[in-house]
Amino acid sequence: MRAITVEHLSKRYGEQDALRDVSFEVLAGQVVALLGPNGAGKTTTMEILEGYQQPSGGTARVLGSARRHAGRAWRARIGLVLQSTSLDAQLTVREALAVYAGLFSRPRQVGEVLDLTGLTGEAGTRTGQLSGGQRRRLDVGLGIIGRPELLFLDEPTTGLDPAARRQAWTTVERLTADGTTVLLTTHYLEEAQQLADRVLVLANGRLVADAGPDELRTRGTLTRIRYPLPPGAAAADLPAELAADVDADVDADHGELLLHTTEVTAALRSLVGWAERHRIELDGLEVGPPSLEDAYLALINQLPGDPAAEQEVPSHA
Amino acid sequence: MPELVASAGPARLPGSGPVLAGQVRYQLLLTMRNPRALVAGVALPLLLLVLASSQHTHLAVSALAGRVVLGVTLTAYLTHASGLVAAREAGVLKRWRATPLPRWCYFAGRTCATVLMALASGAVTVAAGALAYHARLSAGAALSLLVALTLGALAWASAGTAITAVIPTTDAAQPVLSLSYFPVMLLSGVLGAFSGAPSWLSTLLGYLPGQPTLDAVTRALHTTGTSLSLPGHDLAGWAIGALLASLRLFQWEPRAPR
Repeated sequence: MRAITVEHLSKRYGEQDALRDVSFEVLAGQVVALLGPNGAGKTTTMEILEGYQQPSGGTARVLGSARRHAGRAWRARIGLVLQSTSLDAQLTVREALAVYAGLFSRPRQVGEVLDLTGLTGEAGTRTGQLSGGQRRRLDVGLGIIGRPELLFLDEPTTGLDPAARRQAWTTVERLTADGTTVLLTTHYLEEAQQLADRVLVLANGRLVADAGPDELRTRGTLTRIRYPLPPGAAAADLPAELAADVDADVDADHGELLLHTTEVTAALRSLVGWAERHRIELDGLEVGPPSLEDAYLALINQLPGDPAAEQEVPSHA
Repeated sequence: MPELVASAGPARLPGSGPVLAGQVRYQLLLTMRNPRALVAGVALPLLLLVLASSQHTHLAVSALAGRVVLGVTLTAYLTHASGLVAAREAGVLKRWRATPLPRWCYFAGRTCATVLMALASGAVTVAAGALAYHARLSAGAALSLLVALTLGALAWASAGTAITAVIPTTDAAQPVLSLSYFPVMLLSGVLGAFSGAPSWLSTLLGYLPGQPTLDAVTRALHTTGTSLSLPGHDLAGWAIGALLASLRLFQWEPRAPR
């Protein structure tokens, strides 16, 4: 069953194409991450799916509805965590959740949402006094209070510290375990790797990849070799073909060899030979497929440049 | 092939009545926690009453009417409109649009709460005036006042909603609202009759909502016994016209890029 069906979607702002012939589907129960550089069309795609914007061409059906301003029943089935919204600062966290819960037929209990978002201790705090991370968690809480079938998460963990981010991931995983479909945008590739069943990559308004995170990582022919240089070893000691790939910023004293290559055997032979000559154990050596971030960057960087796409696309026509 | 995701079938959403009542409660809560609303709607008219009482042992009905109208319109216009612009630009309204809240419920809830707060402001000022000057308010005057202030507050709140359409940012709200409010109200005589105005200005003021509001409240305060003094067609016209304009012009999305 399909929760979202997008066919040949396009959007123009004046002379600028924000989206060009984008098609994809999201099945019920899936978690799909929408990735792409700034201006790629992520927010435009999300806002069309959420009913805030009208496409210039193509169709987008969400939970069976293609209407821009769908009715209350449709709205009650989706949850939104947006970047560009706010709350009245005079309300407490508990009051805000209770007010929103009153709009739905089968809302979650306020206490349950406080627990899910880790805001129990802030229940009596006015929202204007919350930290940025706490506000973001409240955003998530408001998005899920109505027990949505489909949840849109627009950069849900931006501004969260690592612990809070992991807690947010746990929240999303608990939701998806209950069958909630999630479409999320994020700039944290580890987040996509952790949460997503599928990754959609947008660039210059086009969909350039649609695959599982692991499939995307292993799709390329590059292999990743990582080796933290031990004390006493300097980048200059390495063979010339390897020395160029040492990132000295990683470790102020020694640096780290980080190499993406199609010639794994030759690179390893060179590295092993160097280690034997210097009687060094290759402790910490990692050889494997690239990380999702590596794969993503490789994908983005191999695309032809489009200066217009580097500009931020306005979020409103 | 059906594209609808199977679900147990959405249960019935809460009816419009409870949702609207919830919105009014919510908006009243916000207004009561907003110090600007209390200062503009209650403290300022009371302060002006106190200042007047220190100078005169008798307060003219027109003077009391002026202070009542000042409090009511400050609440209904300045506080209401500036709050709307702030909510719109912060993305509060956009968030509401993402919920199953019927749009008209938000609009009506906010307007109802503003009218109720404006009425409370008027009641406090009238009560203070009656207490300070040992004045008595007849039943007819009280009822006439209720009608006049309700209609006046609705007209000003609607005008405030409509004018938010031309206010692009939160920073621009105060200048635009002040400029469109204070000259009208001061020339209309809320703080005392404005004598020596050229005839064209008097004519112009007759078409603006300040004068009709003040006239309706003054007439209401003059009402004796149990008779009822209804506001003129001009104030009713303003209320209806401004309400229609506000419905047409109301904007949910932030104007400034975020």
